[in-house]
Amino acid sequence: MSLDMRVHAFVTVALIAATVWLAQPVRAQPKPKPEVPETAAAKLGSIKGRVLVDGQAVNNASISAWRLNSTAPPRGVPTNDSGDFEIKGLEPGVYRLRPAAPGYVAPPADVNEETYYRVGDSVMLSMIKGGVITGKVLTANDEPLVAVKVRAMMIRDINGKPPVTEGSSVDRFTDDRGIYRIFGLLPGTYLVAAGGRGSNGYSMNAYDNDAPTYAPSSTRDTAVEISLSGGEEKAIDIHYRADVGHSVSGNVIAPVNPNTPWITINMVRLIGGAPDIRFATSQNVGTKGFEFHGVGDGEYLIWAQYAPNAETLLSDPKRITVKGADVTGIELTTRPLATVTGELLLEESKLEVCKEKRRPAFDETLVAIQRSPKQATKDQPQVPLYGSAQAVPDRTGNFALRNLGAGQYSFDVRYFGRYWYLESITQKTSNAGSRDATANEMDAARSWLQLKAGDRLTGLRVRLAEGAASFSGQIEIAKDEQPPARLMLYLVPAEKESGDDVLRFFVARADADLSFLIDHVPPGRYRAITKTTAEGELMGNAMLRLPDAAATRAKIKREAEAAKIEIELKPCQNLSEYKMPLKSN
Amino acid sequence: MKYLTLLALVIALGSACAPIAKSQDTTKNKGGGITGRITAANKAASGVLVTVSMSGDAFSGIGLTLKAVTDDEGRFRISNLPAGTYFVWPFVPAFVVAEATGVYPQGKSVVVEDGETAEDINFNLDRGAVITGKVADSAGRPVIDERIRILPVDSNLRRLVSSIYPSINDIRTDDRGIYRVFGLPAGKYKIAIGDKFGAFTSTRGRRFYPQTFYPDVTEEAKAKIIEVGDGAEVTSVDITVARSMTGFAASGRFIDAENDQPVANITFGLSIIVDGRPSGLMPASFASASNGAFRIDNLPPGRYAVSILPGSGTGYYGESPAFDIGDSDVTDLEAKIHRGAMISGNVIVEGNQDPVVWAKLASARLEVIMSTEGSNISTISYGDLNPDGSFQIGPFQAGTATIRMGSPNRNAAPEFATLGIDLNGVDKSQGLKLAAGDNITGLRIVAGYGTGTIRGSIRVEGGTLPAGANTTATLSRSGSTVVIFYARVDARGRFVFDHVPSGNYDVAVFAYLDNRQVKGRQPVVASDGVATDVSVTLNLAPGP
Repeated sequence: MSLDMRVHAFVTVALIAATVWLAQPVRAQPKPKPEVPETAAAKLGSIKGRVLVDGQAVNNASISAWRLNSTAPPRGVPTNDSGDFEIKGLEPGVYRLRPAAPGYVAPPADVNEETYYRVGDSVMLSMIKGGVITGKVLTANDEPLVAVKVRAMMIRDINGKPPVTEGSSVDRFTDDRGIYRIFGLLPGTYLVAAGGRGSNGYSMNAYDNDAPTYAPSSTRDTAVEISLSGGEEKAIDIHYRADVGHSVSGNVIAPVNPNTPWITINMVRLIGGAPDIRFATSQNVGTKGFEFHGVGDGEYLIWAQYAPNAETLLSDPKRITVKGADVTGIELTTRPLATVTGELLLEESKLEVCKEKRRPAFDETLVAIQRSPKQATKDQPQVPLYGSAQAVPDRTGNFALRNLGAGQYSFDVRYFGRYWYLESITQKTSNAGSRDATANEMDAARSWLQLKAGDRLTGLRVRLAEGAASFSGQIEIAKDEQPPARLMLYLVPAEKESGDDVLRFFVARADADLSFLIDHVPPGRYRAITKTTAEGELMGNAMLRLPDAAATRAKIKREAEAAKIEIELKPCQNLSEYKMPLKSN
Repeated sequence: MKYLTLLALVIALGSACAPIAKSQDTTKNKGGGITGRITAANKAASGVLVTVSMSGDAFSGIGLTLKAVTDDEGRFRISNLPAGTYFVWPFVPAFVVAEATGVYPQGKSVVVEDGETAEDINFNLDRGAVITGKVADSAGRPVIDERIRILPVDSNLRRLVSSIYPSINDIRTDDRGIYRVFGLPAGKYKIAIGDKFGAFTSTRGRRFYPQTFYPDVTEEAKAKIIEVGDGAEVTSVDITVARSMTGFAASGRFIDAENDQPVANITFGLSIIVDGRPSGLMPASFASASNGAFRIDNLPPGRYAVSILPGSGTGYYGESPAFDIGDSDVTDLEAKIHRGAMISGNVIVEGNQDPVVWAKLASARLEVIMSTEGSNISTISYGDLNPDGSFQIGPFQAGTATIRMGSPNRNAAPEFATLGIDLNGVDKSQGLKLAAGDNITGLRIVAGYGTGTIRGSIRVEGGTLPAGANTTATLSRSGSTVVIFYARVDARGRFVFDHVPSGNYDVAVFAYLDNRQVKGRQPVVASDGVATDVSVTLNLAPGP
């Protein structure tokens, strides 16, 4: 299998695994078994590939694979001198892959853009050189401060958005000269702070309970922001303020499980209402009270989380203001998070043309749910966690999405099956007594699913149907015309009765050579149109189908009607080598 | 003088005495204090930051760190302390604190009694040495984020070096391959990269380096020694290593020893065997597949066994036969594993019918230490008690289980004393032998609840205890060898036992000197609600 594939620099982390799979009709052979009789779940296989930086192998790169919905620890293997790897002995399932190399970084994937893999895939992953922030921490008298912890916290990623792993930071101690060096940083905008930890617990360092001093010698409000591009090194000194800060304390009310003794209390600084850096402390379950120390003035969101069993309990968050005094008496009561359960259904086609096509495997299918990233309101602050879940259906097709915080959610389904499409996502309504089975179901693809604390929603149905078509070809431009950047191709339903079916809206980005591919399309009549998008506005199917993209969809439909390019796709048809004219915007 | 200028770390002057954490019992007398003096090169060291933590040492227990700064005479004072055990630590990581008695970091344990000021908690500072250099491989590429090991040649230095803060076990190269270690006592050192427990990180996928000593040798005997004096800085201690390596995989399957069936989805660990004994353990780091198959990747050359300890929730324990990784994968390992042993029984509180005391049992726990023959490694696990004092704990592996009353909080001393353990009248306080699949019922644990306190002090004869000698005190019932409580002896030779039930006891003190152990013993009577003083004599003169 040739690994000579194109890869985007670092916005998309991997090549489209589905394309790779489609080119290979036969799956990789599983490992030969010893004398043990094979059980139903016995077929083990491998995922292989390559890790590169600018097209070259990088020293000491390795790769980890996590199997979704499994409690097993991740599997990790090294790469060889060419950057190649193979992870063997993997159970069928849906996997996340993460490359690692000392001094290098791979951007974390957004939940919506994450690529998932399965056994048999061949993958190429890119990394970039990590950035460095270094400098000295000094007292007011310019003496070096030794063994104080310095933290670099990302507040915006390279696209100016809040970082995916919110609250992540790297810290290092200063040495005997007061010098710190933090390396392996993703490109983005950072704050650097010395001292403080905002929390108690196993506090050991003499500066742990101070309010942190931000570069150059500031509180959070006047902290300097450091922007770092890939592999860049920047120097910044910090003059330590030794602010004592204030304490924030209270009590968490949670059920007692002596086997899981620690409740975590999180506090996140709010800047303009948006979550900024995060602190944590803990409370021993069954005892009273928690306390944060060294807290600087500002607005904060505070909440408790506790996982006595498999399910996490979360308290409603509280907004507090620290201004020149301690804040005491905060009471946080934990409540269960929401769970959504359902089943995956496969509807086979009886058509001759769709005979002998491979079905999606339950254990290689992923049902994901994510919360709308809308800003929480002042009166209803939102904990910036527990806003997504992924589930892999079991052998009977049942799945459970757990630990979801309050909010409104949309779904995303990933599956392998070239001739299958996502037919519907429905939610059971409480309309008992109707004889028509589908009258009890609400379209969950088209509208947000509202969840609140403790909700136990059952009866979600995800239907995959056989008969999908694919549409591929080339976008044509005039001989001397410049190929536009960020060119997208949209496919929208032409049939009146499917006009509102969000699952019939598709978008694909044209490759550099202007070729395109849209697959897993329900058979029917469509209209196609090309459009260019603004920087940072790249869209995939999931985003195009969101409830609040209705206006965008309507606009594209109108433009497509005017452009009058109609495509008819028949069941299990691969309409290829289509010459799509470029529509000028 | 450069010395004093660097010592003048005028830092947290605003908080000479930060407030005590709310969780303190406010009804206790807060009139206690700690005072002392810090010197460097026999001169007063002013402006030195001293931290005081609430418990026996900086690690155990949740505590707010109090701070003080030394004045022009080098003196510091912390006031308003309730009675308790504190850890005093001058926070000067660039210096060496020679008389530190803590294991880590370099400070002193101090017992403060009600209203008492512990005086003369003094420290002398020596400027620490610095060793720095760059590590690169034979192709000239920097070796990034690898651990550097600093090995004192003189065994006397080992304890002091191991208490350096930030941890000497965490010295790593940066993105340029450069490392820097500071705060070293003067002496001779070897510097190395890579180690024999490489499996800890390599099995996560990391390539590993062969153990290499400065400047570029793999044999320790050929390592070049670096000698540093007080406060010296030695640069360019550069190490060249061979290129990083990849290891080999070990695979096989788990079989139930009783019915020969594969065991699915088991969490398992890796035991690293050195000189025939398990010497390193990665517990519960891997998981097997649904058909019983297991695989560990990238093992460095060495001897290993795949092992399962109970507590992974699987109910099984066992090991594969030991296997050697040389220059190829090892396959078809068969690990026969066994269902664990269960223990059930009752805890009774001796001589006490108070329902309030019995209610405390519900929040106490049992602490079980399992040791197996031929292994250096013991495991500790905890079991809950039912409100009536009954318990069902397990599964445990075959071996010897030593059971004691524990506290709900791992870091607090137990409230209940373990006075005796018996099974059908047979004493099991020295350990209960367990075999695979055992189901032991009717174990009786006799606990004592007391409110007596024993305050001990040591009188040393025939010499002086060297600074930093590790001294421990134990409390046993008169005539019994079963230890009910342990206590650490502080820098002034003081120790405390709390929650002692009324009765007759023996207090024993053990001091671990460089080449021998010295013991002392004294009987004492404890009474509920009373603090009893006891003095134990330690005779350091070498005996016949």
